[in-house]
Amino acid sequence: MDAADATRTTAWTAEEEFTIAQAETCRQALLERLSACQEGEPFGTLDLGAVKRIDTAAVQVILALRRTLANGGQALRVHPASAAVHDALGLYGLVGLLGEAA
Amino acid sequence: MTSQDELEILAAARAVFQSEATELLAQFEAALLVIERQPDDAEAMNCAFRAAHTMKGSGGLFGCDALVAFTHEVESLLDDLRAGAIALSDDIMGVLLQSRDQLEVLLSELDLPQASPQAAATNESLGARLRALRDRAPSVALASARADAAAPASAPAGGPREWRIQLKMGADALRNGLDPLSFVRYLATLGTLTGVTTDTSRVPELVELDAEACVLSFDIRFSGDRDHAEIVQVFDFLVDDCELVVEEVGTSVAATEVVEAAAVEVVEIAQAAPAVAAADMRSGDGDRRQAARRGDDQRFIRVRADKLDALIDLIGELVIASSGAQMVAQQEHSARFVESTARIHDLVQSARDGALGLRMVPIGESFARFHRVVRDVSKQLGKDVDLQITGAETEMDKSMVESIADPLMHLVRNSLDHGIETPAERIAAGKAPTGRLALHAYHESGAIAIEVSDDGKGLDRERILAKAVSRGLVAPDAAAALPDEAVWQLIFEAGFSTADQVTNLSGRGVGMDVVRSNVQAMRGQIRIASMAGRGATMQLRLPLTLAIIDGFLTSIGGVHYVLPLDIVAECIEMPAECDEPIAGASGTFDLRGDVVPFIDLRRLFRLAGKASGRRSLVVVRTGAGQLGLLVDRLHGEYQTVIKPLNAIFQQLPGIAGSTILGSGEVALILDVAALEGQALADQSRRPTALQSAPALGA
Repeated sequence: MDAADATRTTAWTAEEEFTIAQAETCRQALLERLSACQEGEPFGTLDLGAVKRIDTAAVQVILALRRTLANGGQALRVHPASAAVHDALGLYGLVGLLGEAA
Repeated sequence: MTSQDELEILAAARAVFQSEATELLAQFEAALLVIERQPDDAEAMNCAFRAAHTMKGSGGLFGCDALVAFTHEVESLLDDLRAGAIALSDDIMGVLLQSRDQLEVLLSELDLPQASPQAAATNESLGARLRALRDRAPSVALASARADAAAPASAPAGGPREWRIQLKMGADALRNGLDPLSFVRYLATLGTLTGVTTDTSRVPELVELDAEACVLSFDIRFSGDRDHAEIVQVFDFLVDDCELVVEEVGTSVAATEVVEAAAVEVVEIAQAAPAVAAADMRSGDGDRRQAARRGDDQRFIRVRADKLDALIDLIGELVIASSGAQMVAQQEHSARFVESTARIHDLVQSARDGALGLRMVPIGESFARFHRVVRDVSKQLGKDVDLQITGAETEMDKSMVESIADPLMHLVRNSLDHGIETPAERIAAGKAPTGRLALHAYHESGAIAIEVSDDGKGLDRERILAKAVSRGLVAPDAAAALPDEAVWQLIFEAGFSTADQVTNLSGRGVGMDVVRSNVQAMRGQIRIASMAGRGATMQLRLPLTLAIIDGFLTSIGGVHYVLPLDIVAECIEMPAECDEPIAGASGTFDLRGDVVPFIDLRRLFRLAGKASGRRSLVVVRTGAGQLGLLVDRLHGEYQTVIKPLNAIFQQLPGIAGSTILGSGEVALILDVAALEGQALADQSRRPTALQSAPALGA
């Protein structure tokens, strides 16, 4: 599997509600997914297309994931992202997270 | 600690929570009603949000999941409203008010292990409606804010001010239900966000992340014609959970203000000690802020009502004992003794006033709920009514505030139902389509007066009289001569209702008589003023407290009688006509041209012996006018504690209670309302007395 394909692999898909209530579950799911990734294997993208509600706790989970990936030399890609996600990240000046699939 | 103790502590804490939550509900409702009229009132919106939020937080402590879940929905909707993501509609207001009622139900079921099926069902359906309302409109706040910025024409003269807002979130903010995202979104509605930098340096790796702890800080550039206070206010709820610095860009460092909860103090300290390192201030401020908040909390302590009552009883006894000591001192003819008892007497009076003050609460609490009543009732009746409240800060005894609530409710409903006309009728009568209902409270000579007035059609004299005659309350030939005040009082007779159309609000003919008996039970009076076509005012006059009376002491034969001082209008020498032989105990006399009924108390109470010396007539104000009471001697002002009469004597006509004089003698407190009723009844039986009376004045 080459890198270009990997970016199109969906690592994890968020549901409609992506808030503090789901944050811990999501974190666990993402950690599982991370540990499933072998050394050097690309993580894939985050699918936030279905998200209707997102809050700061969820944004923090994304940021923490980005940090973890960055420490492993990978970039986080969010694709697709719903209007709600665009709105929240836009307010926070974090549109950089929405790396339109490179 | 045994589990029994734990249960008791929990029960006590729950009771506190319940009473607090009741206050919060009242605030919530009041705020909603303000918002309904002024949708852009940010303070009211904040207040509603804060109330819901606090309730949710406290509810969580007691494991009321149903309450927490439901309040959460309410809070989310309010949050969206506040952020401008959705616009207020009648629909939303209706649902919010219903939610308030539902919260009340949930609170009342706090003691049950789980919500009743009924409450749970309402929770479900209302919750769904709350969610539906939120989903209907997507977030448009930011878009509109940007649109505003794109159109410089809308920018106010002088240009917008540039602000830099640094927001360092505390770890618990998210757990406390405070999402900085909402605040930033709300800020965007006040102006333009020219740049938001989110500091992610504290974000750890995923494996170390506490998913519910907030680790972000924000540096926000904001442009808008807002002042410092307005911006700080945006983050009002967050003050406990963040460090906030708001500064205007381009101003000198000296003008930079450090903002914390106890702003004034902190700023002063910051200016007095500029050398204090920033880090130092950060850590110190938190403590100081905590201290300030603790100080806030300690301004109120909760005291059990029975302890307070016991204290007031005791002080009542002290008042009596002190009067007794004073009398003994006078009899002993010891100037020094008299002086020291006088000093004690003064102190006892101050202690009494202080103790009674403990029970005093502003009447506004009782008024506030009428906003909702007026709103609901006027909608139901298709009327448009504006409620005005004045004097809400007027204080009265807490127990009386509670007892007055029902009578007031009746008067308000009566005004809404029978007083204020429909918009069509009002326009036809040449009035503004919106009716006005006013609640007004004020202190007046040792009493509290509460007025309910409307600008409706007023009372209908002819219809009231026709009804009274048909019910045998008034003799047909006496009707025409009855003064207006006496006619208005007729509506308080049992079984009296003049409404042509019986509605489910009022007009059942029960109520107004209950209102009067409730008010009289508190030694109060109701007076009515009315002008046809212009409106009516119902005035309740109540003593400030039930326990102690400022009395006017008189005597007949050897028996002492006390009248409430605040109703005494004047004392005159007995007019000659009072000495003429009359049938029964009452007659009329001429008071500077007015015909005033009087009662010879000696005859009424059938006291033995004959009056000797100069007798006096005490003229008192009553609901319908004035009344003279013929007594032997006047002793002047007398302050005393009221003792209820033993059950055996409670049926005594004209006597409301008793009291003990300093000498140990018993004095009887006169029930003026009952005496007046007796005088009026006597006169309607003898109409000729009234008709011949004016000749006396001529």
